[in-house]
Amino acid sequence: MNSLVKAKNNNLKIILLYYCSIFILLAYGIYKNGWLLYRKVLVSFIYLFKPLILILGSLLLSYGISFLFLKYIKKEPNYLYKLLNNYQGVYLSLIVLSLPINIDFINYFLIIIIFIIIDNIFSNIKFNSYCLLKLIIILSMILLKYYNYQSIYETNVETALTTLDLFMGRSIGGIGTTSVFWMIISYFILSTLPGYKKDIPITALTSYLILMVITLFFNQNIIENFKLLINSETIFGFIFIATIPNYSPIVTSEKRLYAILCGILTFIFNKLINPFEGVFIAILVNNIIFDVIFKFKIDIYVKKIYNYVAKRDAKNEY
Amino acid sequence: MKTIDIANEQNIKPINNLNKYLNPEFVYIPIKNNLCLQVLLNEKIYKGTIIYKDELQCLYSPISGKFKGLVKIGQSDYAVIANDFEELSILNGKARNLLKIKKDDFLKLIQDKNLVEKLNSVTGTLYINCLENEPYFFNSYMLIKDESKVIIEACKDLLKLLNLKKIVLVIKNNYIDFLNNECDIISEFGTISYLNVPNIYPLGYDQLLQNYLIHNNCDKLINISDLMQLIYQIKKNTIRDFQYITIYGNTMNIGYVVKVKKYTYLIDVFKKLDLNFGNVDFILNNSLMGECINPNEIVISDQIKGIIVNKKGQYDELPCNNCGLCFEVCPVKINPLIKSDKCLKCGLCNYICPAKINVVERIQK
Repeated sequence: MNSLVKAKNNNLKIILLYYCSIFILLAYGIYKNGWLLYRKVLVSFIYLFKPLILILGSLLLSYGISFLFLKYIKKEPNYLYKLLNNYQGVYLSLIVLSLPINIDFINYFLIIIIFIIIDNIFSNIKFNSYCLLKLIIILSMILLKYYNYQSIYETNVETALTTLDLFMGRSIGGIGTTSVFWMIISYFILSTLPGYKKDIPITALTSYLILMVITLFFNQNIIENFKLLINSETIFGFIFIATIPNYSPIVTSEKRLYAILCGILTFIFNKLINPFEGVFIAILVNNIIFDVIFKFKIDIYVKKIYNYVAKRDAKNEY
Repeated sequence: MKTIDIANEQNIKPINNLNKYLNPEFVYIPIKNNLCLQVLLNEKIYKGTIIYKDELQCLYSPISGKFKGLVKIGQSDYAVIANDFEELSILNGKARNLLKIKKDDFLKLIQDKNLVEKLNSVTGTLYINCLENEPYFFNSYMLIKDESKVIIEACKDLLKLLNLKKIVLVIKNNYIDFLNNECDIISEFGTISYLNVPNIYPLGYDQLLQNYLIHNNCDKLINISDLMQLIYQIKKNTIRDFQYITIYGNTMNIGYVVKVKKYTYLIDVFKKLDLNFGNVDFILNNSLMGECINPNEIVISDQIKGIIVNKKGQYDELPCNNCGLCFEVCPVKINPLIKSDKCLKCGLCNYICPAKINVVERIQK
């Protein structure tokens, strides 16, 4: 405990603001994937609240398992304080929002329990483990043969979506990641947070846009490419996942490089794989390249050069 | 750089009154090596008598009286001098008239080489930094308020000596008396004026204030403490036997600036001001990263600018979540998570951290 003068901002306020922006996307997700389908009598009343059940279940598991770890395994004296200031629930909620609505409860919660236990044991992981979590869940859906981002209505009805539809969120996508409009609102809310790295989404989107424009010269289908830009999963990834503080740099020049790489890799993986998973793979690979290999290797090479020069100077003196 | 008005955020009210404690019963001069003690037991001491002298420093008595022996306070030894309240001085040096000496002779009298270099090369405006390095302190404010005549006279002497056109005293925008009442002083040698700057931390550090104010090689910045050194050592040709300290913190509604004799025991100052503290923490010199101290072990010396009295143990440290706020507020734009020689140790990274981490301490380890 220390008694030095401290600013009034604290982790709890930051976490609450994150939940506010998550709530906006969740509300739209419940509306699009729940209420609209319930009104058409396509789903039951409980299904209406599936996104909320997924998030609340994740939070319960996160706080519950972390509580057990803090109290009985790590034996922290002030475990409640540390539990309240834990960001794990926030990031799990973000992952839930990016999942398809068809995700099975058992499948999801089993993976989440294992993830939370591993995350509590290895708390110093350098790469973005939440991206890896999402990819593991998607892989499990593929293996269990129910990987599909379309809701029941979208599976049965073919619609021609306008650009406005894509922007407002009437398209196919994750539970809470279809509406670019609400994501922009969330971005402005998050920008008021101290410690939110607001320049990363803008730089990443700019580099992504530049690559888009370049490919227009080689591709006649401008409309298809433009619709790819309004890919809400990509924008969600840039705003929420790429800016997770633990896995993104803090120095301005490093942030810029990280964001540019994010934009480039997202463009590549969106084209190679699909726009739903592309951004998560890109952020994970970027993390590994940037933090683990790039910085780590740079330190090693700098030390090698320094030692070489020191030895050479010593030889010359002799 | 993200600027922060800590005084506003922490609701720090300016201190308007100066308290004085210039007649302590005893003073305690720090002794590192008993062999370097220059006086004998019960010897008559005068103001200015050298009590302790080694390779690094020479300590003078601020009062007249008798040397009573050595005492241990905390981990250190101190020479105790009992005050006879007569203020008899051994220093017979005459005050110098700076208007009658030449610039080169004046610069030769100054011991600080950096100060000599600055005063030698200034040809435009000389800025005097009257800001504090700590949001809770008002020492400089009280100093320029209490000794304004002496300071203005010294500035006039410098205008003539160094052939300057202007001297500017840089003050904070919460030095209300100076904003309302003081205006430019136009002397026969040049102008002395006040410049009001925003009350943002840590603008009081010389190198930061220099970057903020000075964009011309002819203009230079010196600190108010440098000016006081010139006034006492060179102009008055005597020792400065007192200093200003602030006692303030988040447990006090209003703080105190006290003009005390050097080497006064801190607890004696508390008794004089009738201050009784319960379960609080005392922090030395910097409320953002200073060390916690035991006031029973503190004797006021040159290094002590003030004591911050804060509520005990308010925050628990959480794991760092790499938000980067420490980098955003760093005035010298270094990564606070990596050890660097450029670090000013201002403590802003400690202040802003939402995880309540003592960043500076963690990096030093």
